[in-house]
Amino acid sequence: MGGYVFLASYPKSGNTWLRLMLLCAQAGQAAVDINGLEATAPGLTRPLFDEIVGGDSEDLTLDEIDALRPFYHREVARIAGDRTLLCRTHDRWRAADGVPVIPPDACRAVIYITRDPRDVAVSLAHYENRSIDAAIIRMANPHARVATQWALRPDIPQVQGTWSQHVLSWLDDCPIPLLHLRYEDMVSDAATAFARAIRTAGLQASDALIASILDSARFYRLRKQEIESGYVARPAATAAFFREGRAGQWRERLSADQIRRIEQDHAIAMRRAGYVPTQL
Amino acid sequence: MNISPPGRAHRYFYFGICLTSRVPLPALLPWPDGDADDCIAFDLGRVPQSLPDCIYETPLVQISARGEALFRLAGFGCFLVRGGRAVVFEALADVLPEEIVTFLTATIATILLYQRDFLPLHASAVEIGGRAAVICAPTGTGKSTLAAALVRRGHRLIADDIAALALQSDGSWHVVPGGMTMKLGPDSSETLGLSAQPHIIVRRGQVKRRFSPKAHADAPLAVGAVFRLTALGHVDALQRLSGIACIAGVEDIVSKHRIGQALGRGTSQFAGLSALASRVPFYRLHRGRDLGSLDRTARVVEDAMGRD
Repeated sequence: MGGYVFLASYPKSGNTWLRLMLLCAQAGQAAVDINGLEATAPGLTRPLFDEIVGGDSEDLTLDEIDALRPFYHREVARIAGDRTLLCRTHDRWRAADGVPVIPPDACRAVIYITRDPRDVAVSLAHYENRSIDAAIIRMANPHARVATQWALRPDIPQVQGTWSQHVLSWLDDCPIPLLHLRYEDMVSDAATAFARAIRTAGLQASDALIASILDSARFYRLRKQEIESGYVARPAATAAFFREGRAGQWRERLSADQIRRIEQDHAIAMRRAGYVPTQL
Repeated sequence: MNISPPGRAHRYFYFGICLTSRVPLPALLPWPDGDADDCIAFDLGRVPQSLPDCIYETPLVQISARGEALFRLAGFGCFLVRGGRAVVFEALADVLPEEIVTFLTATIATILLYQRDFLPLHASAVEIGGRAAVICAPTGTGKSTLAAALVRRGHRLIADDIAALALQSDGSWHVVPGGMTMKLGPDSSETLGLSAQPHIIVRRGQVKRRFSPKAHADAPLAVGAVFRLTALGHVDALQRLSGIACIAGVEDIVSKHRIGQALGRGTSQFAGLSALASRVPFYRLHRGRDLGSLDRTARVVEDAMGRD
């Protein structure tokens, strides 16, 4: 089969959780090791990008990096041959100079994960070690990005924009076959969500393997692994990456004003993704 | 751009070789007084938009069957690199000399070093106890940051980001001094307390902090150990590697592996690293995610260098 299967999402939406499980299914591995397959998964990383394009991303402008992205993805897909590339991205679906930075011809499918933006705000604040108000502002910032090309982290700079831009760009503009999964559905019925993701990714996995992976990927087990051995992708400022894995925390954590601001900022995209504003 | 008349070229120290240029190249160290019997000539001129007998091509780099290389960045300029001796640059826009240096000390350096039969590692190197501690790591892991931490602890810098290894007649490997100041991004300069250091222009509108170590190594130094740095987990740990594990993931160790292959150095990359691993210890060095523990990681390197 080959080609990319992008796991796309706004940050803090359950991308890592699903990706760890899918990587296990792809490798035929029965238990999730948070520092195992993750470390070798094909990501949007600068070391690979630099090697493939023959330049140094830290010396390029963001526009120059964007212009090189289609070549990079096609080349990585060509090298991978028949292997499916399960790749995370926090980029919104976007084009640079009219050319999609992710070339559809190098992709087989997209699994797009959304999470209730009110919960995203809670999780993002924790992840970035900032206030919830700061997270709400970030989610409404059309210029928001993940990473810079000279930061001490390996990611290629990715453009998120607002939470709404992110959701609507993937759900409405992306021409690649797309499965939309909601974090809340993954939490309430992980087996169904995982099975749909496996089908979309074109992976083969026995029922026994799926059951074993699901069992090992229970949140408290991932959190225990992180406590015992750390997590490779945890930013230094974050106390714990795997935290609670619950849906609906916003009801306890957000003030009425914070809820209203998020709903005002994102009402259209919330409804598009199946979330109901309560204060509008 | 300020261009000197012919015969009045500036001379710079560039991987132990004299780089001559009519254009001043800021941030390169001057060549010490005295003659240079081996030079690389940098000049401005017309450069072809493509190479006729191209055997390797990305949107940035073309390499010909004759081993010439063209580095072309749209909207910026083109570098033609020939025979390890000559670099010609044609600007396609208004370009600052600092921006030329940015590329001369990155991919262009790697190409020149391959053309000259060096083994360029994607590594920084620091002198500890008279030998070179070579710190290899993928981009964004913190090798320059760790090297800067070691320099701050009194060790001399040998090379940053690209460490040029040269095989000696006795079979040992030496690191040739790079001759560059260190460029540190905001995370690193803040952690190292170097935020007040002067800016250096990397690209128009993009700056880093320039960290000029008080002392650079000025002569090649034998490799003492190779540290393959990772930023995993939350502990500083050192693990001695053996056998194929030393050089597994060659593309993480050598600079621009595929360009080296296209320049006919694929076999020598592997053979060179294998030979190096048979002579000096290779370690896997995990640094903590927290940059606050840099000094601890630096001590781990010092201890290992003292051990062998």
